[in-house]
Amino acid sequence: MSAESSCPESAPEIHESELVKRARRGDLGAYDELVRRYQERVYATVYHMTSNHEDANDLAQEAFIKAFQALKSFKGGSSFYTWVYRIAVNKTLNFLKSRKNRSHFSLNDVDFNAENNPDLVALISEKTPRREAGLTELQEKLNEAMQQLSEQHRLVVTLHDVQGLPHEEIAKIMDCNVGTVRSRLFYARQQLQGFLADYLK
Amino acid sequence: MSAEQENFEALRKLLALKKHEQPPPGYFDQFASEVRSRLAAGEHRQTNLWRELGDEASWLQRLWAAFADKPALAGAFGMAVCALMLSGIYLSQKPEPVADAVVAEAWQLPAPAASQILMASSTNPVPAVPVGGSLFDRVGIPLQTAPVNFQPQGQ
Repeated sequence: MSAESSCPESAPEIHESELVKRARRGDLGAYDELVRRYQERVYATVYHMTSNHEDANDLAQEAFIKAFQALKSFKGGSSFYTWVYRIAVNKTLNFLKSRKNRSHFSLNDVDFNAENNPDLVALISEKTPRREAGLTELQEKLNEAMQQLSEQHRLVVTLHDVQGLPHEEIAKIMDCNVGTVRSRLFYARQQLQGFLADYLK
Repeated sequence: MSAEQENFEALRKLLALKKHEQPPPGYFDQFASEVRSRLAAGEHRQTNLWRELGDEASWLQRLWAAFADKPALAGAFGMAVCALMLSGIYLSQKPEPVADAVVAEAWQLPAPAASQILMASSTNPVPAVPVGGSLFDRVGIPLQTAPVNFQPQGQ
């Protein structure tokens, strides 16, 4: 392992393709840096799909481990980010199929910034005078509604509306065309709108 | 902006709450090192067998999930497997009429000619032996027969 790749200060300056090249040669320090760059986004995607922190932790770690094992087969046709995302998404979809109807929530706490979000404050204050209780209730209802969507529709909403990825990037991750992404997004929003009608008035 | 788009806008604002759901503090500080230690320890080889199998053969997990959800389906599948096994056993013990017919037909077939057998058994040209004749007739020497004496000499 090179000293350069092990140094966290110098790592952000290294280009992704260089890190991939080093990791492919077995440099775990370089791979460490790749994991740090994308861990939050990969974890968040899996978490929003499963609504369970422990499952998300396992699946996100396994996705990075599988990506490392398969690094030699990574052709570089897409970015490493898209590739690892695809691995995580496939793992998550397989996991969700296997645990169908046996899901249970293990939700992360809402951070204190949520209380300062004017949009959320407006939604809560109309529903309940007790802000904290309102947020928790809203969080549970939102997760319940998300879990009622099919995996493909939940994924589109997660990637676009929660994580802010563009349609084109989502199409690459889901291996479909942009039109399919748009139509799935529209349908998923309609469904969510129905499930959360009481909170959207 | 249409009413539908306005509604989607409200939904988008509500979905913003998901962004505020965060794992415990310090979680991401440990994440990379955990991945690295699992890689270094080779733990990835000992991951859950069922999950690995599911990655390679998701149909198996779907089948299993379907059985778990619908016991009646699992029962029907079990009965179908039992029926297949029983019919297999029954068929294996039943005499085969086709084989009997073949044997009976073989008994009724005329014996193949000697010339046909010779020609079929060798790639070299072998002169055909005339049927019904003796090999001694072809030699051209008159046959002489002498009585055999089994008594020892000198007696």
